[in-house]
Amino acid sequence: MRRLTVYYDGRCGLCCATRDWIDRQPQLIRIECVPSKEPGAELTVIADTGEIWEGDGAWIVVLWALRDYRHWAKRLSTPSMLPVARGMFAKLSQYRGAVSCSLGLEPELP
Amino acid sequence: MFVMYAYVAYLVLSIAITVWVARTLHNNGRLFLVDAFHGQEALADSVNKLLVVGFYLINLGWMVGSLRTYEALETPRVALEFLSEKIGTVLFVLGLMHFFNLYLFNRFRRRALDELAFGMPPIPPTGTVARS
Repeated sequence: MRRLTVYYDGRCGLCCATRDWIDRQPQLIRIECVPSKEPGAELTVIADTGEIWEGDGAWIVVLWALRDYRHWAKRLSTPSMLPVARGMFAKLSQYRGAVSCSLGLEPELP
Repeated sequence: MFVMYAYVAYLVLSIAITVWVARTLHNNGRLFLVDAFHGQEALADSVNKLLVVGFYLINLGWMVGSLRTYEALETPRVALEFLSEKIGTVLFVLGLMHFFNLYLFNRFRRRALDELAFGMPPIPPTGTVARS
């Protein structure tokens, strides 16, 4: 696996800010971020080797690809932490519009 | 009366202990660092030396700074108690610094192992697509 393509919600300010953050991080596996035009699109990660990760688990795959956060990905994916991590991401994802508004984050797509 | 003797004994003992701990750290930490820097020995030696310099500065600074006592130290007993209290503190601080250094060595090494570990993400994929 050498490359990951990340499809994120291009109409979500928080997601675009996260994309900028990912671009600034040292990457062990190259990450290409593509804004998705579908309204309410779920975070999706596709590897160059064909694997797909959708939804709550996908962001852990993104962390795993970043040099400084790989150990976090391992820590968060242990059986005791994984439900917590998934739950937190699901909640954040559900309220991402509200979070973007309250932080004043503008999306790149209208 | 015993103040000067106590001060000299304190400085000699604590400096000797610091040198011993620093040398132990320097000699045994090297392997960790060589591993962490993927076998680049020159870089590992350089980082090792820098860590030891920091270790010396913090510890010697601490022990020189905490030399002073307000007690008169009039009997050998009081002088010895002063000495043991000071040296005890020095040992404790050295111990903390030592574990902190071990933590740093281990963190460098774990990161290096992570960078080598290719393989798969810790989460199983939810599906696959045909490879294009």
